[in-house]
Amino acid sequence: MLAFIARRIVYMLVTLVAISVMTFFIIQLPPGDYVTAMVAQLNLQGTTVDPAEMAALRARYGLDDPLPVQYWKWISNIVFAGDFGFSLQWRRPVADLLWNRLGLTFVLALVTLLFIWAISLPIGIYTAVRKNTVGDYLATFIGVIGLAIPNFLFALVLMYISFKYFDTGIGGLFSPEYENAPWSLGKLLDLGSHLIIPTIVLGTSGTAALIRILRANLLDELAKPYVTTARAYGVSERKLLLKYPVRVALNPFISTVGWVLPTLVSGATITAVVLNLPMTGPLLLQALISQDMYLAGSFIMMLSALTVVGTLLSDLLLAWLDPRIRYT
Amino acid sequence: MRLLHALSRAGVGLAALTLSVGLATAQDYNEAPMLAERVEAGELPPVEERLPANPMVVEPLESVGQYGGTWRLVMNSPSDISTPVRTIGYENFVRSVTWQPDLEQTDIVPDVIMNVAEDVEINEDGSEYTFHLREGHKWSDGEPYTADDVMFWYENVYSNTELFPAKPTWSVRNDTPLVVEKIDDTTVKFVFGGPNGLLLQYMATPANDAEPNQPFAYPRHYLEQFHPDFNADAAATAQAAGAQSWVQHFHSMADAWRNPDLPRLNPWIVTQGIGQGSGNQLIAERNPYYFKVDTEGNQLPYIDRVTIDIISDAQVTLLKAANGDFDMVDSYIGFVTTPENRGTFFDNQETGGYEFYEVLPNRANLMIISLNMTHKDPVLRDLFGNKSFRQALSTAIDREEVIELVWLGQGRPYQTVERPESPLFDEEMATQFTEFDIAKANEMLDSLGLTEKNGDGIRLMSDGRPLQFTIDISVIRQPWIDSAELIKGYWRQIGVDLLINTSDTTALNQRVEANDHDAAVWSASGGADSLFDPKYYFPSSWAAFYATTWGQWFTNDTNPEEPPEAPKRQMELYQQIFAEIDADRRQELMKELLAISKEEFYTIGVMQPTADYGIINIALRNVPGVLLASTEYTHPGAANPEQFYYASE
Repeated sequence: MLAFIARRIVYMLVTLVAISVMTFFIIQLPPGDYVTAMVAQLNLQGTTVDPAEMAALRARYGLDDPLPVQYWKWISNIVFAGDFGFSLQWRRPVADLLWNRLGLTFVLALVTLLFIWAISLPIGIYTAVRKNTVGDYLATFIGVIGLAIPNFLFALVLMYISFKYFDTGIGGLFSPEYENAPWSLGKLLDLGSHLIIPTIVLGTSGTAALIRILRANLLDELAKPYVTTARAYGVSERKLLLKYPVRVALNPFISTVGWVLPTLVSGATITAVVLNLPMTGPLLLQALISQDMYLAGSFIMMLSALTVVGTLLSDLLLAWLDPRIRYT
Repeated sequence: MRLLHALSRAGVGLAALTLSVGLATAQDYNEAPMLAERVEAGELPPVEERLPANPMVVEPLESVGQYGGTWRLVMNSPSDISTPVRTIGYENFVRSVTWQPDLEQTDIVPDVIMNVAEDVEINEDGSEYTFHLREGHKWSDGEPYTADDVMFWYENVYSNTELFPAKPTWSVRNDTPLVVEKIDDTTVKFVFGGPNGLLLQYMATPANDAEPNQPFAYPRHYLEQFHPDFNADAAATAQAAGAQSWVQHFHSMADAWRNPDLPRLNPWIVTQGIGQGSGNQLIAERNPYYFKVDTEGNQLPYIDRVTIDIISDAQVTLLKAANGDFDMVDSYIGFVTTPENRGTFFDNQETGGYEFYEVLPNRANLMIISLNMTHKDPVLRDLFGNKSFRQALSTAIDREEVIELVWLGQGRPYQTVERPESPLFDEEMATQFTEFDIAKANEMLDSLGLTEKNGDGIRLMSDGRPLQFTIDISVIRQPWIDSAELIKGYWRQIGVDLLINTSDTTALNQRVEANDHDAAVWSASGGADSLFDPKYYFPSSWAAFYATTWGQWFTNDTNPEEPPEAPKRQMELYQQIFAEIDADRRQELMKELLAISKEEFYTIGVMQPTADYGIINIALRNVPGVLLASTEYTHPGAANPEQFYYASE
């Protein structure tokens, strides 16, 4: 067991180093750098920047150093000083920006995960047990629609409905009066009401996928001889179902936990942009557009670390849940 | 009298001066209830002690207002500094007057009045400016704002080559940078290397930069702790705060939009900066030490707070604006009042609780086609450099149709030209070669010797290649791409094959800077902007897409190439304008410069927008019905947002 974990951690480190090199160089691939992107933005407003000023900015941000030097400066600060660098666009330390947003991102991730489980678990079991009934077809139909609608479109439609028929604020996670208020019951409720749309939008696609997986797995299990045997022994139908086949079929729930976080942090970007959520996704997008390489780079590093750690955790969980899986 | 004479010659309006004189009599001042409470609680000195000896008096546009409310605005990205600067940060030494349709304009730009500086004396040739600050003027934390702060800016910021390696152009004359001398506690003298006729006009433009480098932006008592001249540990402090160097740290600490601790002179002071809190909003509260009062002695501003949401998705901004979540949105604030969104705003007027107002956008032209006259390919260079060729292409554009189809009729079929409101407008320049006439254009091309055609009907160039070139267009403005598709069709009829290449602005700029483009599309501002950034009237920088290398010559940039006589003459005239202190003479020089642009016909203009619109909360008062806006003419700052107020229900 310990050897397994140690080996996995070594692999993780190698993966992270490879990712850090890749991200840093890929971020530099588009033409220009932060200064040219900034000048482009200023040009749009009609301001022209002196060539001397541009050169000075480049020198200050170290953008005229060779790439390996820039990379070393960046990565050595992260590793040795825990310093993620300085966002050129926001002019703040990257760490400040990330922590501000990660909290709410985790809350949303957790709520969405619970939403997905709460919906897909009972429906998945129901559709497997009542295979090929009207209820099964209906649930499948709704699930597939949820999977098929692009998240951003769904978000826009829900926003329009809430704008048109309900008197709720649009976008964001708080109403203006609570935006900067200290935490209170009112603020918590306000957050809750604003979380409904993002949770539904982000949850639907995940729900559909899990329903399908659970149904398929459960159908396999239900046909196995041990189920018939148990039934013959007179075990009650409910106990029989929950004690054995469902437990086995739960594997996908656990093995996907590791991906949920990174998907929500980055994959929900478009939804978060559309809904104007103070999450990490839009920040990353902005950083990439404006070629704010330290912010973008540190961000992707953080996401990769999350994914890698998440995968390890889900592997361990899985092994605990299902003893048939060996540490190999 | 000498002073008054010098002032009026320099184009400085006297309204503000006479008003401050009238205030010399002591009177009772009033303040906002929220400040009165704090005075009561002993947290603040009384209003008389907070105001300068001679507060600036602002005459409310319609009526004296009442205190209270929140002004809700929106910006589109964390680097969109110009939104806070234009709305709540326009407190320069001098400012532009509030533009009104009936206001007679004597200069190239709207007149300038005094602001943070109480008055100014200018010497005979315009090389020395003596500014008088306001006695008893205070920063937002109550510390005095004096000549020492100006000297701190000059000696330790402006002159520090680590903080600012390059000197801003306004401060350099005849290659000599500015020298500032302290005369006494409230008097400073700016000495230039030569006449600097447009100094005040320049100082009235918005400080659109997170690093303003301006004499009113650096409170010495707060910032000296971050500067190695005063604090030997400045570098260590910077490291500890997560910055890479003291320079970076100093700039972040001096950034009024990100550092709430920085004392300022603005009407509202940032309490939650960009990127703080959840990172979605900038918040500012009234400055208890603000130096302006209304005509009844009420300390301004009227409005208590300002919030500026940071929203990067235009659809979200649009939906929220239509829902009435913002109090002022137009083509300079929020950027969503496009012609195609007008219907949405119109439908939601009642529920959103807003009404429309007019914005004169001060755009000289919204779509300018530049053919690269300094092309690396000698054949294309000859062709694009030929004025008749450009005139023929211009004649072959059906501007009426383009404007109707793409811009929903919101424009005039003009070349790149000043706007009709400007004293520099030239109708002939506006309309030359805008009459759509395919036959005439064909004739013009024939007479250039481009008579051979290939099987597809495309003319052949002198070396036998078909006349085909690529136009680079940035994806940021969809109408550019739509118009180019139409233009491609018109030019096909005169045997010219246009290829359209859309790209990101950064990529486009890189291509142009390297002089690798055939042709490109961009827009130009007019009015104050054409004075300070005249790149579409003559090649004044690399961003003059029709002659990149000539522009690079003018700015001593990379790949310079000496331009021909006409642009060189314009460059000379341009330098003269900045040295000239007589407004009338300046205008003549500018007209002369524009006459050469007209004659040279550098670019092909497609359309000048008529008027933009904005939406405004129906309860907001003292806002002009028609507002002038441009990059250099501060909108809405010049309309004095400190005297905006909300009418009670």
